[in-house]
Amino acid sequence: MSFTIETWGRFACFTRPEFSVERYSYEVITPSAARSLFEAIYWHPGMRWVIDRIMVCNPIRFESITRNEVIETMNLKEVDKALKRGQTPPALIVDQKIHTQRSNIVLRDVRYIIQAHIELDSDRPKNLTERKITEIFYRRLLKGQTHHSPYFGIREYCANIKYCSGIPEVPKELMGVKDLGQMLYDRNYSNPERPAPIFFHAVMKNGVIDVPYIRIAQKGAKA
Amino acid sequence: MIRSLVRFYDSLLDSGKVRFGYSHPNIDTLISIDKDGHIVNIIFTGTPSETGKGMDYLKHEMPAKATRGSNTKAQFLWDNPEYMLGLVAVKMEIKDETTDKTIKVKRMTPGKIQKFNATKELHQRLLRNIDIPAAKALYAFFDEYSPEKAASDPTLAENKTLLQARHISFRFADDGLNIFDYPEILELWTEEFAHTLENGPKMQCLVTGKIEHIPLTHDKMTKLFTSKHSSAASLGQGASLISFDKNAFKSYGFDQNENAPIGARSAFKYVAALNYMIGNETYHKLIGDRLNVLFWTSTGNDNYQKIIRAQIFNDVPITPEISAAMDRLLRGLPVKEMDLDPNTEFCIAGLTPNSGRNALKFFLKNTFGDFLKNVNEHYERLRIDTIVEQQPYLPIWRILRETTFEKDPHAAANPRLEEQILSAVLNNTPYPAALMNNVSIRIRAGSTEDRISPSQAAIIKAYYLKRPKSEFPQEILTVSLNPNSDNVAYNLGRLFAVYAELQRRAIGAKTVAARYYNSASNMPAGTFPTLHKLAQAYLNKLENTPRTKGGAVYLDRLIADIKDRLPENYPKHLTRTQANAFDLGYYHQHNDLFVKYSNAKDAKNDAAENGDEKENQNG
Repeated sequence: MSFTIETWGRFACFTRPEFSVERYSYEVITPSAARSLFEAIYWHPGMRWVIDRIMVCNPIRFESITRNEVIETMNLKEVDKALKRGQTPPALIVDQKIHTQRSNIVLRDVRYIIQAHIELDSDRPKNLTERKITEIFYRRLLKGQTHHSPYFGIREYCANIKYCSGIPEVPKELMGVKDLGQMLYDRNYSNPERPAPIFFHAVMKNGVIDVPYIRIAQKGAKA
Repeated sequence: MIRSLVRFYDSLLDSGKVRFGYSHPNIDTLISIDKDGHIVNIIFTGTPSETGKGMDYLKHEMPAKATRGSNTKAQFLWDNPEYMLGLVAVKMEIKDETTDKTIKVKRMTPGKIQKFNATKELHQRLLRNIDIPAAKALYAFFDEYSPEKAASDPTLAENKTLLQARHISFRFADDGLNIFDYPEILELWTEEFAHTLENGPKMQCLVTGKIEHIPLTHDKMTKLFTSKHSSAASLGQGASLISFDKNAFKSYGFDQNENAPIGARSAFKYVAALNYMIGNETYHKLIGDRLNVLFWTSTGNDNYQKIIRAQIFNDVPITPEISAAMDRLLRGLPVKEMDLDPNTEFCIAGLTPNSGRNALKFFLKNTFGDFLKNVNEHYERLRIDTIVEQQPYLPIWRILRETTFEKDPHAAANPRLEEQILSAVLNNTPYPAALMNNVSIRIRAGSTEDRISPSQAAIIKAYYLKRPKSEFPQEILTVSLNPNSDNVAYNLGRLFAVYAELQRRAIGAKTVAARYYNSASNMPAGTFPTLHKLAQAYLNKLENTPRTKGGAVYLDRLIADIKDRLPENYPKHLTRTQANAFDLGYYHQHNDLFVKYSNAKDAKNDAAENGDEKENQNG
């Protein structure tokens, strides 16, 4: 049973792992980010979304933005200590010294149609059936209900999702075969401490990317 | 982009221009040793550079630089003084025996011994079984030499060349050849290098997709150029492109470059490719004060570069051969003589040096033909009528110049603007809004005597052609004056130009243009009544003088025609866009009048010379 959604937004950034410091986006949405869109609409332990196909509807446009960002992460030890002492833990990083400018190269005005299917784990709860999931999913999609705000790679770049009512014409720029090289498929969570990235060879034919099936352990689902 | 770089490097390998595992560093010091490994001489290789900037050093194919952070790793055949000789140059204060004062001297003193030991181990291991005198000499050198002994020997410790040495190698005194001139010795590195690639955890490489050893750090690039430092003979340490040093950059518990898994071979190749290009004029150009633009194809043919340089950067003269080639390529045809195919993939990357890490500003990949087409369309948009002898192409630096105060020769344009304009040109996307804003400000500030220079008008036209606005329709975005438009702002600009011309002819002054331009283009309803009165006065003067009567009639008719196209009431206020339309209208009309006037003047002079006394219609 195939699920299809249409999603669009003003900005998107699917960061390449090698350029995650000065962020540089992939040309198209990664299966990993696509999965997060489906999961935003509906997810339950025991099921997993697997992306089958990505269709690109808008020409690929990049734009460069420079932002101020912090270079340190939260110090968990400090948080622990504060909690143990009964104090409020430090919640914000406001130190000027650890700010820096980072340039981001992001996508502009994206629109995708994404197809996926569901797989159920063997140790799922007994009453979780595909039929049930389908009905819940479409009900929530039509109502606009989500578990969290859907986003395109970076939380600030909100994604709009709707029921796909038709496949538009492929824009001229996307016609032909475009080799996108190795693209991030997802991360392998079989070792949750160190989820290694998995890549696949992405080829876009007339705006369509057929995503190969790679069976990996997802977060919350076993391989 | 990494993939394109690796492919480029592979093409360099195929054509024999590079060897895998080798690079071309600058060597500034040679230590000459005899057959027993004794130091005979220390030679400085620097010669003043032809370009006048800095020095040129000895450049030769050498084993590649080792990737070092805080770890110790030896290099083969060349290195810095601490690794090669175990010595560092240190400033110290010693007591002068004769005068009993403390003086500051610089001396070579022993550095971290493990670095020298690593170098010694590497060289002796590789040279052990090589049976040529030079190799034996170098082996003996490492046997005999000790940093402590050298530090206490004043000929070495205070040697001026050694004190400023950055990259040291060796020369064999007995035959005057450098140690790396011996292929048998240089090739020893190939196998050793292959071993070094087998280090690191194994992960899927994001370039090849295969499971490979992943080095945790990548080589550093050669220093990128800035306006202060643009010498190809660089000895300094560069920065990395891909590195994860701060906590915020790491994810999922991965350390360093595990966050960006790239296989060892690809990692070497992409940095080597970048380093091959930096400093090499064929591939590298500095734009502004820090944008380093690198451009390459995946083939080895550098004719592509010549053409792009001629077209965009205008620093290669456009020979008839190049011009003909561009014609063919724009039509989608290959050029056999220069081995060019418009479908070849062409890559352009913009990098800026940043604190500690080089930033990728943009990366464009397209067919060569498409790039040429985009740049050509850009020039087409800029084409505008002008009296002034114009280059066939308005170069980008000239466009940027229009955004700064022209009387200040050192004014630098906003570097971000430069990157954005270059991107827009190459990608055929709209020009940045900042461009138009800056040029508008310069126009309002009244930089040129004629208020608008041809370049400024060209920029207005090109900008609005790419960013259609209903207030500025296509019909007036023309190369020459459009006398048939009814666009209000455009015609107001035209009218203003005629009034300015009237003043010029009547009393020879240009104060109308100087004083009233800004208010006319911002608040026409308030300004034009005054201008009408002034114009009428000038017109009367011209009509009452027989010599200028003909011209006055022409201008009077022109004014009537323009006024016909304008509404009864002029707008109280013009928007920014409309003001730009005013600017273009003014420029077109002004230029047109100038053309007619100088043509007529020439004709009149010719007629006078020929003894003809026909009255001219156009004055």
